[in-house]
Amino acid sequence: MAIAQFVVNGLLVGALFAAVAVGFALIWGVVDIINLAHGEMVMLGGYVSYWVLTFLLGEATASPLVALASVLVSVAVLFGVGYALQRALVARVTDEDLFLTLLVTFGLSIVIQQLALQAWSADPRTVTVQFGQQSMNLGGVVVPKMKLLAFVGAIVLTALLYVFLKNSRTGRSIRAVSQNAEAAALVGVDVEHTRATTFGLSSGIAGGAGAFIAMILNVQPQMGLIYTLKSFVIVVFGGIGSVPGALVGGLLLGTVEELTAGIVSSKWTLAVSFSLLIVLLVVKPSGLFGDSVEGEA
Amino acid sequence: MTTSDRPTRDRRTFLKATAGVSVVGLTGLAGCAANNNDNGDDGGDDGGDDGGNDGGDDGGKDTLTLGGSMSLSGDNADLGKLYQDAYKLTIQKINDSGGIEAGDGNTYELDMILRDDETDASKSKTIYQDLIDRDDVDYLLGPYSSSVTLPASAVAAKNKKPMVEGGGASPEIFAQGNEWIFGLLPTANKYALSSVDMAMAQSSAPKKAALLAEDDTFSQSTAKGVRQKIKNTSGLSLAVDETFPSSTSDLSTNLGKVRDQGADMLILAAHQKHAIVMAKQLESQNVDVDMAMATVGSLNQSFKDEAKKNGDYVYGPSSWAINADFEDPVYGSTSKFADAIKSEYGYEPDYHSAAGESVILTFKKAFETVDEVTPTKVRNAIRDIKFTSAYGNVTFDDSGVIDKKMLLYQWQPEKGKQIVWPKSVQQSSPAYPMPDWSER
Repeated sequence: MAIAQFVVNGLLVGALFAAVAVGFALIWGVVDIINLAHGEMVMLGGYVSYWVLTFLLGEATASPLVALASVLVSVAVLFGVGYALQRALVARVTDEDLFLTLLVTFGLSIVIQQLALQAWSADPRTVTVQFGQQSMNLGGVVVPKMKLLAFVGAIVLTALLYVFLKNSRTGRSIRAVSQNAEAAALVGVDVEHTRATTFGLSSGIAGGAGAFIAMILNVQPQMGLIYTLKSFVIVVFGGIGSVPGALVGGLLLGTVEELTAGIVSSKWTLAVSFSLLIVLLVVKPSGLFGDSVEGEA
Repeated sequence: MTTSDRPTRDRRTFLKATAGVSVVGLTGLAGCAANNNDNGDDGGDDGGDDGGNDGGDDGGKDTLTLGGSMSLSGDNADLGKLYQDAYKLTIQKINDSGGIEAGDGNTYELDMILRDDETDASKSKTIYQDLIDRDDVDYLLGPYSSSVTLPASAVAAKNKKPMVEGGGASPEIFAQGNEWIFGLLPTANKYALSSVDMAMAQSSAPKKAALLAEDDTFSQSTAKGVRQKIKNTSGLSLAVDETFPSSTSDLSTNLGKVRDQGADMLILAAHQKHAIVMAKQLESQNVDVDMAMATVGSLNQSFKDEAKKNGDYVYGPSSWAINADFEDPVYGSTSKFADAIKSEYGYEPDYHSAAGESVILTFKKAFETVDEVTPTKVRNAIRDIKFTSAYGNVTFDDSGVIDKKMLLYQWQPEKGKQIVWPKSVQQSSPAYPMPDWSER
């Protein structure tokens, strides 16, 4: 039973990791940017939810429906933030040396952190979602309701993104730009707008995940780095640019971490995760769902 | 092509500017580092003697400068601000009342240089070396957190400058044979002991304890003290003993272990963000314990504001009782100190603020005692110091740690934050055991 509990804990938290990583994978796959400020989008999303609820209700305590509405606000606001950042800043280094893009997004992450710190202080903030009972017991496995809601929300966000990329005109443009930006431009795709939209979608979904994190755990200005790192691991697990890969990678990472914490010890979670990353890089460098490097060559 | 529509000159200019700024920045940093290394070496050889002998002359015009680094940004910025505010206000009050009449017959004003170390130990070390080498600071204010204080205290020792700190509580800081460091917090291994004493004094004393500890220096020292205490307490065993990385934000699995092992008491050796998660997840993971305490951050109002009703019944240790009214040479009394902080900054001070105030008062008292203001004489004076402040009685043991025990507070639903242990200063009896979640 304990193992089942660890697996459930892992899947519940892993879906959130996945939602964060999907955006990271998207921006990496389409714009070819390793966005080191991605974790800050998660943080900003959490704060948007917190402040929207505080502004409207007087405190960050809400019913599940109202809390979910604040997630949508976070997605919308962070879409705008991501779009503007790509247009105003990141576009200027897209297609340039990787080191420069890393430097710019790293600088961006520091600036956002410091601004958040000045604006909201280092105090952790959390959104309280009111349920009659906070958890339910399914055959001896404790399932917190908010985590279950966040799990479903994260999966829905990821699925919506997948469907959008597959079926919408903008989604097809995004995929076209990811495959060959110059060819896409030749057939009339506005590459800069498409890249900005991609950055917006990436930030929006990260912001939505951040809102859920504010409800389950808490948000702080300095919280972003670990989510950026986890996203990196998940994307390498799943394959660069692959939405299903990021989803599976996130669920896998969450499960491995919680199983490690439960069976061995929490202090080994990071070591085990990164060891798996190294093994995967050696055995299957393109990730679980990525295109084979040899095949492409 | 769309991508080529953008004027390439703009991009090139932007890239050149970015690259240029980066190169300049990195070169500058490298230059600073090199200078610091050079100065650091020189400081070790020369600074010790010169600083010790000339400190009085250099600082003896009309101003004595206290310098230090502090967590003014980063994870601990909220606590760093408490020290900064207490330092500033205390120095301002001292100067407003005419300064310090030192034992050498001169009257000095105090000045302070406090730089942001971003809770980064290596930055803090660089700041201290810089303060000593470039700003001629002879008297050091310690930083916040044990991980930062330990290396900072080594800089103080190397340069033979006294450092008084109110933010580092790891016993390791005081186990290095360092004669230049003085700490105003009881060491971390004592933080959770009063909670065990309180629980064991109850009629339904706990039989099984659970310890969840963050992997930083301070929390590990706290955990060490808890393990030793439980080992020496008959009838109490340690059923769960888990260490988790600071970057871990989800305690579900560890709290599940606490529930599955049937632990009666939970001690969380960690900081505020984990204390809030603990308060939330005790309920969502359906964990019922008789007592739950967090070693740092659980007594701040911001903890209660975020944890809300889940923060009720949670315990936390403090080295300071705001209701114990001690005489204070600057503010008059503990209550007047609390009023001054509240009126100036709009919040109620906690033990970090009171310890910060006493850091400044320790130097003040030492300056008043010595017949010549030099780092060595001031250090010797601090060793023998004995005074009363808003923080309580201040005196240091042979290793440089204040001789003080921790009090235990609890958030109570009706009364708010109450001192519940020891009985001699108790404001309310402990609400023990905590009610189960199904009864709240």
